[in-house]
Amino acid sequence: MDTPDKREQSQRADEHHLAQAFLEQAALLLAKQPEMTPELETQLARIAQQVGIPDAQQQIVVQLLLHQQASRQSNASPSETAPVADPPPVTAAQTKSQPTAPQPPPLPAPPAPAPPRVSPPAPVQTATSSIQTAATEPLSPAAPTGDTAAHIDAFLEQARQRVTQDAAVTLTRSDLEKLALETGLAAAAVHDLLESLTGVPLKSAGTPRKSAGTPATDNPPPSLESTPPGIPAEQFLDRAREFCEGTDTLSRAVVRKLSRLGLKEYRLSSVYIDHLLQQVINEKGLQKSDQESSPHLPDDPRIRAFLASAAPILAEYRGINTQSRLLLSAVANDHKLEEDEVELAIGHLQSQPEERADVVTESQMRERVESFEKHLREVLQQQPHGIITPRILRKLQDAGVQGEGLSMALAKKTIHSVAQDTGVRTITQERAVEFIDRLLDDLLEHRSRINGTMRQQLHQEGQQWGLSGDQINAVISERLAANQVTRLRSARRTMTFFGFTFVLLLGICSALLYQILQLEPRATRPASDTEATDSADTSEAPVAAAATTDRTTAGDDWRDGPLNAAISQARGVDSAWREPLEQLSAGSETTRSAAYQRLVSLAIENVDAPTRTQLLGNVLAGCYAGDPSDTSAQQLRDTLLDTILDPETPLDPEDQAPFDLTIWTIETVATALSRPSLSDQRSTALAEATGERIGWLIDASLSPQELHRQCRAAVSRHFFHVLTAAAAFHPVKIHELREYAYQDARNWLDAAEIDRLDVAFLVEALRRVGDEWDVYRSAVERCVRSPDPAVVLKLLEMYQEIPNRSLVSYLTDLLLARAGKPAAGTRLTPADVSERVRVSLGTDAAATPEGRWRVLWSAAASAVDRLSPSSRDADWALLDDVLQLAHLNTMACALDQKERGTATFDQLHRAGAPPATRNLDNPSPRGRSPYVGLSGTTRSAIEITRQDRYIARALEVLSAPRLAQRQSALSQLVDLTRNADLTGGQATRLVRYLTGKNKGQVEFDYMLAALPSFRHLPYLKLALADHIAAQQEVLPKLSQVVAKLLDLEEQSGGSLETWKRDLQQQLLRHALSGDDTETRDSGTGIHDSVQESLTESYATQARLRGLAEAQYVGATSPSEVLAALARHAAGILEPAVTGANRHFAMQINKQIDAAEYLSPNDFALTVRLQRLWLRLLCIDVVRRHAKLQSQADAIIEQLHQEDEKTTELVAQLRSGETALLRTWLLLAENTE
Amino acid sequence: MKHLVLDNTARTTAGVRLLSTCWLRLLLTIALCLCVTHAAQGVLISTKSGEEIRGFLIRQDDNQVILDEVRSDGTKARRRLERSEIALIVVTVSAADFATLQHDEPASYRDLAEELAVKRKDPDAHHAALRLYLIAAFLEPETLGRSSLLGMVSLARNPAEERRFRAMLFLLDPDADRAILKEPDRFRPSDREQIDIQNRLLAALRALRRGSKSEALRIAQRPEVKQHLQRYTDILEHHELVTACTPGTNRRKLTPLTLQKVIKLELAILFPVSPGPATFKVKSAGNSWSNLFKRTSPSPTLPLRLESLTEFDPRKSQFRNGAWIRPRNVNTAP
Repeated sequence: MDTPDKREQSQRADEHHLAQAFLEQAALLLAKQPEMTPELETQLARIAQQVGIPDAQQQIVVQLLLHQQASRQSNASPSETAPVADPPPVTAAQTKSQPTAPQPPPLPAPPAPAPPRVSPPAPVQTATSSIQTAATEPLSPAAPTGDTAAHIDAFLEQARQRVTQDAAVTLTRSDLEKLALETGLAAAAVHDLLESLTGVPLKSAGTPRKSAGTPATDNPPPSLESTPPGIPAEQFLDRAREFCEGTDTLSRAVVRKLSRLGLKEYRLSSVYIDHLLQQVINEKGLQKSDQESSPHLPDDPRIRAFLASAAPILAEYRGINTQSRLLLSAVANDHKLEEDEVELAIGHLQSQPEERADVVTESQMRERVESFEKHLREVLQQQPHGIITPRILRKLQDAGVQGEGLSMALAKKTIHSVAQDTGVRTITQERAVEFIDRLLDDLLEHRSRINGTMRQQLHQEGQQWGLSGDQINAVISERLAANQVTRLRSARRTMTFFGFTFVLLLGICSALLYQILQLEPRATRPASDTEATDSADTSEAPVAAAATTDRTTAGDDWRDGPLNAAISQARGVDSAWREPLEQLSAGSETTRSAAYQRLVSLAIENVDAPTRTQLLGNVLAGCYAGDPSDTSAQQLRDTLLDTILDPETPLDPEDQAPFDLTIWTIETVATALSRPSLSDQRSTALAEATGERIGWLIDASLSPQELHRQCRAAVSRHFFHVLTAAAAFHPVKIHELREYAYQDARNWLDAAEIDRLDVAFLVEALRRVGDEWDVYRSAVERCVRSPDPAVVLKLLEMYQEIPNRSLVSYLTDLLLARAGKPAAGTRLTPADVSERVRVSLGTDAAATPEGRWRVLWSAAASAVDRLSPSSRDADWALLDDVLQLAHLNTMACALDQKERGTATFDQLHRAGAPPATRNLDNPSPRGRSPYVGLSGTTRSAIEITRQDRYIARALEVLSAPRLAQRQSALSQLVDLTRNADLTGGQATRLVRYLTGKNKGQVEFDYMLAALPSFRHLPYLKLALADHIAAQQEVLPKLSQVVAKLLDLEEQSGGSLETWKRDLQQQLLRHALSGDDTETRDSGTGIHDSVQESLTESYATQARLRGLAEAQYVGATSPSEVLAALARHAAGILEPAVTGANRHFAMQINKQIDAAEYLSPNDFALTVRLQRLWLRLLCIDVVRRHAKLQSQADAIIEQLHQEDEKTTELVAQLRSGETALLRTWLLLAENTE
Repeated sequence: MKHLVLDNTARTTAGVRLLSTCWLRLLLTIALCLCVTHAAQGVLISTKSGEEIRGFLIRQDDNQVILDEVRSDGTKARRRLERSEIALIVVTVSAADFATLQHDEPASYRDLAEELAVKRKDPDAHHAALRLYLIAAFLEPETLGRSSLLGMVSLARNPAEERRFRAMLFLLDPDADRAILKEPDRFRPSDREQIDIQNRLLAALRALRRGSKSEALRIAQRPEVKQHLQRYTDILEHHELVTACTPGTNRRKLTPLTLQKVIKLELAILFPVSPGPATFKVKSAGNSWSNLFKRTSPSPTLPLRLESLTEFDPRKSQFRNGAWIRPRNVNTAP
């Protein structure tokens, strides 16, 4: 114990006094109330607060007092008193106040074992927690009485000594039982007592050691019994024992020497060494030289009693400290000891060995664990990856077990807890192997070979995870073998699959062949079948008779493969079809003719099932082509064509079947005419006969597809003729059939022709329809908007004749919408309306400005009406609209110029809008994108692969030793890349050649000459830019290469950074723009066509508005003319308008500048300038007609809203032109 | 302060049940209004551990602060912070300040915008400043247009936006000359870390061009590269880059459009300083439209007017109940 300094002494004295004061007051309270209650606790706390002692001390003191009180009570009851073997003599005062053997206070932690010199009052209560538990549970079958308790004590003491002495020897249960009998203990009590011993595994005499009972504590101290022989600790013990032979004391030098030996040779921890030495000292009964002999204690019973009580306290608090001293003071006070006596006794206690060294006590264990934990922390902090690999774990466990004397379980547990604390992960070998296996899996995928880099990487990773090289190699080998097996299995599966598929296909083919072969004989069995038919069915006498009279079959030589296949297919459809189908092979033409009739009848019956009828059609078409008899063929033709709708035959307006049947017939005809085996004579006959029936010439020489289309179109026309004829009889009911015909015709006829056919029908129907004309509303609207004037004129004829007022009114609105509405309040007769419509159609010349406005109105309204609402149409459709709208805008502009523009108007009216695709008749080969071939969409994959192969080969040859080879490869590359770009990798390889330093002047010149041919390759420029970025010095030859490639002047001078920066920038910009290609490609494509036409339109407007020719002649883009137009218009408007409009007109130049600044390309600029032009036009309209302000604003606002929604720039151009046209129409309406 | 009012209000309403229903309703209404106003407060919190949290304040007391954190991906999450963890709390955008703005005092919008514009680090403050500048310019283009647009130019979120703001400034400012219409400068990294990130992005682009898609993808997926790429969203967005980098898509070469974007981005990174203002005149010189459409798919143009200058509608100039609305009985079109 350290000697306290004065400050500590005074502090301790203060604490002592405080505790005394508190004890006195607390004892009074506790005397009154022996049990602790909340009220009592509160009172004590208040006293403690008043006295000023801390809470911890207060609790200890209270516990002590309670314990003393309990002891007194137990003393008072003789039956519960446990007399000790050697009760110390007590003073009179002690006899009064407290028991002779005071029990230790019930402190939370288990107390340490009692000092050996003091006989424990009750070992079961003081030694270990397990013993304490046994004491608190008095359930032993042999509840100890006074004598028994003495026996127990004696037994335990002796047993403990035996255990300690014979620690290295196996201690059996029989030994202890024998010992118990010797000490006079009943056999029944032996079991329980043995259980309570200090965790030494006991072995029954007849039971092997493995079945010994489990240790009583959670972390049992390791017995030497479990230590394997020859472990360092044992060897160290032997050495230590050798050192101690023949001596009584263990000198300090010997201890140091042994410690050094243990540390270096046996790698034991210093703590463990101390413990082992202590064990040896105890074994040999030695004394350490540095241990002073304990001061002589007076043989005072009070001191002995004090020592007995003090020992557990010191054990509990691990020596002398403030808390234990407080308690000891209290105990000393109880024993009436003086202060110097107390110090002497405490000193004596301190000089005693703390534990019995032959037994590994908990405190020793704790020390070892702490030492091990310290060691672990040092080791784990040094782990570079924050993981404990299996190897390190093994080493640590060894260190714990062998170096610290811990059990394996405790060592593992300690490692685990320290690893958790320090955030280090423990990797088991399985996990490490698993990780490496997974990594290997990722690297290898399904390959069965591994390269050196991969292997090295795996070894590095594996070593980090604590695996040895052999283990890693084993994992790799295992995985490679597994992959090999997988590959083999996969290959086997694939082979099996293909084999199975092949066999299956072979089987199917065989089955088909067999079926075909089987069918042939069935077809050649007409005789017997016919006979059977004859005998069975006498009702078909003529056929049967013919069949009977002509038993010799005609044979099937006239039936070709397709016909046979068609017959086979048809035969399987319905059993009723078999008979006529089999009759087709009859030799008699009469039989066959009858069969044809039957088959056509069957088609009529099955007209609702197109699939079935199509099969019959195929059979009949084949028969018509192949039948050896012209008579039969003719009869077949007539029978077939009889099914076509006849305009003169009354039509059931609710029966659609004749239409379907006609379609079937015409398709059968088309199939027959497409038969290669059909003779010209029959072909012509069939085409003519069909043409007569449907009123349209059939050209049998067309290709099958064209022929089919022609036939179907002809039938569609025929339907309308039939319907028109029938409309006179069923004007209303027939509308469903008309709808059917109309929908069918849309597949085969163009819209204009449908309109013409439809209007003929409508004229007939509407004249008779009465008030139920509404069913034709959509048809009428479509015809009124038809671009074909003939359609509208036909409607006009009908319009002027019909008596139905509602229909007339409806048609009037429609027609005026097309021709242009009159001024409000003007009443027009049908004749006036017709005249306006005719003028708008151009069929009557518009001789007046109003007439021309009407023409414009009509055309504009029609054009705006027909615009697709979607902005996502194809570019060509949107651009066609743009041109049409721009054309109308120019016409409007011309009209706005009055007489000056009349000629232009009439000219434009006659010319019509140019189509956007007019320049695309001959798509130029120059129309190649600079990126052509990049996406691989323009050429087939095979072609790309082949070209890649050639390019790769040429690039390889570029590194050939001979100059001629290299030059040849370069010229090959020129050819190969003429219509394609290189990939990034190829470009890098080419750049490597282009920038190589080992070229002679001849080769360099040759290369420079070839460079212009690579000018269109963006990837080459990019690769060159990357190459320049990596340069460390200015290379004039590289500058030459770049200059030649980009067709620029060679750059010279400047620092390295400037040089690199400029070249890189030029290369990247050229790769981005592809200027060279652009120049070559100008003037091609639909967009250019529109650009040109639009420029023309705006140039015409500029001319009409009186701009100087220099401002529009020679313009190549609409944006140029639009800017000039806007400036001119603003100049005119500025003095004439006020407010915001004037402000806008005044800053038109700024507006144009802003538009140019914001537009990334000319198309976008055109769109922006179009808006400026619209705004000026609206200002002009409002200037002339102030009342149109809101409408003009609405047009602009609507355009803005569309602009914000749209996602297509082309759609914006169209909406701009539309808005301009709407503005012109405002003007037209008011001008009229 | 508002919390105290709230707490007091709550205590009052809970404790005094004998008050008339009318008073209760009134108090509840006041409390509700305060809650609504309070919920819209934007805050920027710096914790002692160095974390910066952006979000909307829900409530706070002496011990803790509860807020709806706005994460980098735009999602929100309720978060509770102890006062002891917080080093600094800055209220960036206050709904109460918005509510005081009146459309007949357009200068107040501009003034508040200038206050908020300082807090650029907080996106809410940034957006609010843009909106307020825009409203000010819309309400009083003649007097406030120039200063507001100048403020907006400095707050532009990308070069394309800056161009639009500059063009509008050019139109609104009667004294503005063409020098305003300069090409916006690109981001130029100042510190070593930013330069490294930029070089990584550049490496990804070059790897993509060379066909090393896996390498490009590996770099492109790094968070700092993704964040850096946000400065160039007008050229190439991160998802486009990732799509182009994904092995298997357009296995052989990049699509022309993607290649064009990649080169543009590379140029923007390598040469951040724009050329002079005179260069834009070149594009009106009749470039072939067909070539334009072959090379790329030109995007539509937005009308140059204040209403569509940003995503904010300047006609909605009144802040009520947590939302910007059009003021009643006011002709909002100046």
